[in-house]
Amino acid sequence: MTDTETKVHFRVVRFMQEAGLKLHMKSVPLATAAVIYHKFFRGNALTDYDPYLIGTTALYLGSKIEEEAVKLRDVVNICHRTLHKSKPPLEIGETFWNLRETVASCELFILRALRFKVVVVHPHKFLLHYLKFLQDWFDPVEWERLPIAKTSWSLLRDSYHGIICLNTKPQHMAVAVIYFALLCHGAEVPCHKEADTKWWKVFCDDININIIETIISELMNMYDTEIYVQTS
Amino acid sequence: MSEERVNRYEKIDFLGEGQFATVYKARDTKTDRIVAVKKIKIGTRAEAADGINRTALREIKLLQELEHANIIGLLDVFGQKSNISLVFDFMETDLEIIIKDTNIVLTPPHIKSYVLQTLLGLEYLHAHWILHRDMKPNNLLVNEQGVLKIGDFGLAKFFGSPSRPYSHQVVTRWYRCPELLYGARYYGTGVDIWAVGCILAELLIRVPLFPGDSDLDQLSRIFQVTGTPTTEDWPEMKALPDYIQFKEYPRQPLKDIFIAASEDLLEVLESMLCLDPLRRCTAKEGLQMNYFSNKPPPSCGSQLPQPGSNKIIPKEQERQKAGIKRKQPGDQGVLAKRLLF
Repeated sequence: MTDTETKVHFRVVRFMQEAGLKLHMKSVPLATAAVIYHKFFRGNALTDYDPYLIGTTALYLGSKIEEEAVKLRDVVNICHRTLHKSKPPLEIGETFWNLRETVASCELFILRALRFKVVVVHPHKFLLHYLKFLQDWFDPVEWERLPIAKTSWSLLRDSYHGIICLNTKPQHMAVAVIYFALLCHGAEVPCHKEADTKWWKVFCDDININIIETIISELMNMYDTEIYVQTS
Repeated sequence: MSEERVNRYEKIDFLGEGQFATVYKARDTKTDRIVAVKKIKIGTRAEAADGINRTALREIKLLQELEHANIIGLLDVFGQKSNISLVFDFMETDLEIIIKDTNIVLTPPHIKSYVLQTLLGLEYLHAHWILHRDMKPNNLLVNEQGVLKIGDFGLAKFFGSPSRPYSHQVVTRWYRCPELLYGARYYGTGVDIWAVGCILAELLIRVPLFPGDSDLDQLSRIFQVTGTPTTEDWPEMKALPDYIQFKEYPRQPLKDIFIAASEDLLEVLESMLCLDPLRRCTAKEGLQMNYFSNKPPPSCGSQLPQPGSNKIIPKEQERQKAGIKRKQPGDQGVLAKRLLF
């Protein structure tokens, strides 16, 4: 993937997350939407399709797949508003109906492009369990003071701006964001140095420090993209 | 790509029409296998405008992940223009047709085989955190080899999120468990087990056990058999949203209803039709009960009955009739038949 493509995808996912938030979509449907979006462009050229249409449709499809369906009407209105901030809100009229129909038919198109394989296992549930475990290992006061859970959750959410989610096992992703969050806050899992088994091994048998570091470096690259996207 | 796929399945016969789909019998020209193609209707404008039908999406999503001898196999999915078609294993008949076919004698080994296969499928589903939520004879499909497969996953759902309320308007009323009738929004695998209990009873008496004509009538029919529950029978009952106190019905021993059923079978039935969902057996527990290991052993495939097989009407015609009949639940022209079991 070229640099320009990476930047476009970054922008589109940011647009999706902004619109998704306004639509009150939860983390998992949003993550599914992002995965659908990235999977679509893994198999199709960016020059052939409007990424914002694919992104908008992915939001709608993601909400349906995760059984947290939002109304197509709202998706169209909010995505339009998010994308065209200077324009007045969409009125019910020809443009609205056309957009709505476009998203509806694009949905089927995406499904066909993905060969109807739409089940995604996300890191969220693993992250939640791992954090719950860690919480019990930490001193309660220390845990209160450190926003480990919040940071790792945010890191995970941000990760969907890139394609890390396509090539990483959900369990590995969950461990890596915790590791990164601990690093950010200069915290250490209690008795980490003395332990024979590293804490990440306890959560996930097939992970090692190399895998964690690779994921983190990919995350850092993604944050670098953010800087370019903002300045350009 | 999809043109190829559309031509791949050669339509043989029309099987039936439901609310959301039309089903055809077809031949897979690539493998020569007989399959059922379910074409999702994008009929009304309003529906087309909302994109893919959610029921169809659920079926695709869940069935792609599942593989078990007693779960209907989703062989292929393809789209063409604005349509979606799902390709399934072809199943000759279903339990509703078998139960209603008065020419068929259901022996104890037959019944044991059907219940065993149903429970095996259900055990697999529940182990994968899926609730079927629409177990009924009509959705238990049977093929020519006598293999029973659970079908129609249009209402199925992943369960296990403890904080998420579900709709209680699921499961066809006659097979709906008391907690759903009382409006429970948090429920579990017990809803499917209750339905299997009702199906087992129906295999014995050949008519629905609790054919209620409203939700209230449904509950009163249940309590007329099980007796009106006390707080001891079912402690959480009074906390349910739509709870109401029923008239005191005495408990009717199952032995009096199913006069010819064996002790070990009644034990299974008793445990599946337990009013308190927490005390109801799970699929796994059900399978471990004596009934399944006691004699007589369940019939194996070829010994199981085929509908219409001992009639003079040509088989093809009968099959077609059966297919159409499949889509008309509630049609009850058949007299109850008590048989030896």
